[in-house]
Amino acid sequence: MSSRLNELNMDAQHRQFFPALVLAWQDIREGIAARDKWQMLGTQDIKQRYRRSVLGPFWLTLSTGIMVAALGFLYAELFHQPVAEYLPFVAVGMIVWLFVSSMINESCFVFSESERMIKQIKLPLTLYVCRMVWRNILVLLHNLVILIPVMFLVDKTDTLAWLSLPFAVCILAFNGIFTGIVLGILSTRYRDLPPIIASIIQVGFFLTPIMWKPEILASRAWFVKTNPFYHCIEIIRAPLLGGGIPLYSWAMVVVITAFTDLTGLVFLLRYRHRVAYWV
Amino acid sequence: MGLLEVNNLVIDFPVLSMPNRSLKNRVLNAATGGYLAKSSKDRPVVRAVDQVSFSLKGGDRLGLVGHNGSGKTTLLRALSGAFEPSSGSLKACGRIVSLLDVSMGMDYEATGFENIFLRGIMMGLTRKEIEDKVDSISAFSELGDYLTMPIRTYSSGMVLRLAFAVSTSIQADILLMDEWLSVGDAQFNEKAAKRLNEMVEGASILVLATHSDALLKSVCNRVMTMEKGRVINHSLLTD
Repeated sequence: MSSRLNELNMDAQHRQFFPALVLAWQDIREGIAARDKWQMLGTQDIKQRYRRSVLGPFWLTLSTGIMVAALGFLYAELFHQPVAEYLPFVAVGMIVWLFVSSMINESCFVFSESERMIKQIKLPLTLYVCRMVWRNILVLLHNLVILIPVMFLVDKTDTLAWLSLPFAVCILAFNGIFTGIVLGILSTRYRDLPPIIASIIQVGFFLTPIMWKPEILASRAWFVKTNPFYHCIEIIRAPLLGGGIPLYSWAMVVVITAFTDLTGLVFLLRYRHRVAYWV
Repeated sequence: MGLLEVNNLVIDFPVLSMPNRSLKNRVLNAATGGYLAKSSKDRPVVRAVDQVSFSLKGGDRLGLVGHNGSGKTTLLRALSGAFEPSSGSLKACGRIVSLLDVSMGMDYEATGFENIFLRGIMMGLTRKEIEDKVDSISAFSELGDYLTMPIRTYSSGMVLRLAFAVSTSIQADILLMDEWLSVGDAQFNEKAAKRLNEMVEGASILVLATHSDALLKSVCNRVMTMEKGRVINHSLLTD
């Protein structure tokens, strides 16, 4: 790898399809491989956010915990549901939602927040996206602490199905990388995009079964089944709450992943060389 | 070792003013078509580097001179690989170290030690390589116990010292510099100048943008004059 770093070969001719494809592929591979770089940058982002505070990053745990508890008790009452059943449902749904939605929101800024670096040194663009994903994985890990007490309320969890959870987190993170490439490039070029995405995400929260159970909408099951966010949440929520491994949701997530990967690759192929000019 | 070849390099910056940066206008243009759509396609560009060609090999020390805005810094940035050529090509062999912005990537809330790592990562070092250098970097910076404090508590001179110490801790094959770096008080500056000299001498190729004739004469053996992004003169310097 160091030998490659020491060689620079840039040519406008490389913008033709095949060389550009090779370069896009290299960008992804080398970006993901530069683990020490994105881990350090992402960790630094979290540290910076909470520096000088007493609890540090555990504010993440605390604030999510407070929100989940408040929502859990209030809406259990409103929906006439037993707290022991509803609270874990909201807790898991909310934590996964926060993971997915903040990856999408922060995707819009992956390149603009690293502007100074992008304009000075040559590093794979994917590296900046991995920095964002890593930062959100750290947030997720902090939020998972909330589940420890919450899981005591669940009586029929499916411990064997838990084995699928690391894979679920990985596939969501992987999606985050490619969504980050696409939205990052688009919002670097079009600065109206981040607020548009933010409002879509905000509406998405209410349209996705996080606070309400999909059974309520049984007569319009298609509405839930076509919601990609639902499947992203379900692959983590179902095993934890004793629903086994949801094969249909997994299949949908795999389809979504194939779609984001392909789009991400196409965007890198077409626009990789423009990003430094746009940021 | 060390080779730098630039062939008809062009760097065009698109001027993304509000109208063509916004999605709304793009969509409206699609609807109205014709005149507006045409004007948004012919985006104005600033040609910062225009058809520049040169080739440097081991031992070459190139001085870039020219007025402000003549494209020296953009050319340096392009040489570091940050900007893909708009047309033309760029080939380089050897480790490129750019000293254009030595404090890039430093975080004011982080401690001196953390910043050594952050800055080192930006220079393209791996974690392991930085761990090996940490002691020599902190010794050179003379910051001692301050390194465990957040650098927002430092004076600006101290921050620059640290940045300088990290940035000059790796050996470059191709060194890019925008003016001679000078940091710190008189005594430190002397030490820094010595270190920078060693780095320049150790590098096989140097590209230095400067306004100083004296510096040009003492360091460079070639000089390239730029104007409006073009090379108007490229010659050897002889004593």
